[in-house]
Amino acid sequence: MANEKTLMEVINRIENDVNGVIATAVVDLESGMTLASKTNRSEFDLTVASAYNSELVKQKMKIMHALNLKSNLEDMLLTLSDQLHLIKILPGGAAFLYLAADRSSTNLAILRTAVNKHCANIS
Amino acid sequence: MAVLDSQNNAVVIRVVYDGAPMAGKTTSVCALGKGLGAGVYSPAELNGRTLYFDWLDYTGGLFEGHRIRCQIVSAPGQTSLAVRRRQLLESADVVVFVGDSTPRGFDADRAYLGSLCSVLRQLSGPPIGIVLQANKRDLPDAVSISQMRSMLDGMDMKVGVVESVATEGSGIREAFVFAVRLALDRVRELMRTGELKTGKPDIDSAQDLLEEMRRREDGALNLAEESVLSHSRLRDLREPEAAPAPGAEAPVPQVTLASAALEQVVREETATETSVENSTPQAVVSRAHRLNAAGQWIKDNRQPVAPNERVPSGMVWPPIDGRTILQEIGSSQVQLNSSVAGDWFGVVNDRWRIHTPANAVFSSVDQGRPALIQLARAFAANHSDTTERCVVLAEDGHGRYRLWQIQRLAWG
Repeated sequence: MANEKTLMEVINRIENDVNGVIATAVVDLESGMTLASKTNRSEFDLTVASAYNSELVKQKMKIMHALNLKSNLEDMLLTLSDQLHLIKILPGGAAFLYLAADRSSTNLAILRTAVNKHCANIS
Repeated sequence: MAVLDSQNNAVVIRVVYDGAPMAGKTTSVCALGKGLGAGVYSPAELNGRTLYFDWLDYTGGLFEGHRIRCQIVSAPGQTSLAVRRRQLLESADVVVFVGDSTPRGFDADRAYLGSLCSVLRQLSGPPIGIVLQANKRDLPDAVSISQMRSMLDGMDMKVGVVESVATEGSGIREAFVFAVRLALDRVRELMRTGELKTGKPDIDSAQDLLEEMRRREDGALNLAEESVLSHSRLRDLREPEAAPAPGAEAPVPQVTLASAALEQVVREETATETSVENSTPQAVVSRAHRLNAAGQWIKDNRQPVAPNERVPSGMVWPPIDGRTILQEIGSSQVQLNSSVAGDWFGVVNDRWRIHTPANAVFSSVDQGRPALIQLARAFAANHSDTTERCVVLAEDGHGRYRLWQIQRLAWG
């Protein structure tokens, strides 16, 4: 996995391209530990969000397995009344990027494009 | 010291930062604390030197539905405080050894690694993983990573290596998360064997630890000498090299035997191929085949992705030493070659031979796990030294899983 500095650069690049980002983290899928993180709202507990989202991803993978689906999980979008939460599985599948954004000021298409673009080269 | 704290729904692990004096232990823990947004507490220090420990309490991540609470502790490096260092090392679930990459520090690393191993060898339970956080990599005279690996080989140590520059915070989080994974592998082993303690941790705060250390110190001054921690000269720490017995030969890697075991396991598994494959028009279609777009079974020549340390828990054996081996494989360039029979093999860093037979491919983890367990049992029965080999079931990059055997090529 890329080091924290590189991951922070990716997080910053995404933030530069997208309006309304609340918090972003790169999370180790196995342990749910954050490898890099940045939050713009102090009340948003990114550590807790990262941990439980790792369970969410694992559960989704179990569902796919139970359904005998042979495809790969690429991303997950959760729509809240006022927020968008995007989970993007990183190349290699051992980590994911988790991003929370303010729904009213974020364009979903731009968000997805920026995340896909900047996450593609993480090794 | 891992404890399952049911009341707080947390598994408590201790990560101990060890290393020679001035290697960067405190700097690393402080950088980690800054990155995690948690404060570091140091009970006492003198002129910037740690006298007891640095303490960082961090809860993050999930393990089997429990929060992961990490008690991150750095040990004092000064030789005069060896008793304290030993106490902390004995409580570790994983050790991050902060190595000094400067030529002078490199010698000290060797000495401290030796004494670290000496302590860990005396502890019961599943092995305690070590991550070598090679620090000060920004210095122009830093020794090369290959030199560090040679040193580790010479000491017969299986250690994951992560490069860092603690003053810049680079590589710190990576080493920590890797260490947590090793600790969780150990916790899983403790759970499996019924040895995982439950309840409130005996040491629940920095103050608890400080009191415990002060209490134990009175009667434990001789322990350091017994465990060669109270060294004053480097040569005191070096164990005499064992001369080979007259006529005895150097140990030879049992690559052929191990490969044979792997192939045997796969053969037995292949004998019970799934009904899907048996239902094809062909009399025998092995797992080395795949369906093409036209629905025909063709030989699968696609190169698999080599395994790395990111395989899920339970998919590598032995769990801790195996993941450490995989960390080196994953951080290296792996050139895989295919044999006529369809096996895939390669040599990594002139140290490891990795191999997967043509038929060691499974459509799911569930199908591959019995073969993994069977092979691990075969290894456990035939080899006492598990630091020189591992078996792993890993995703092959094409949606299937391969059983790999990794074997040490030569003794350093």
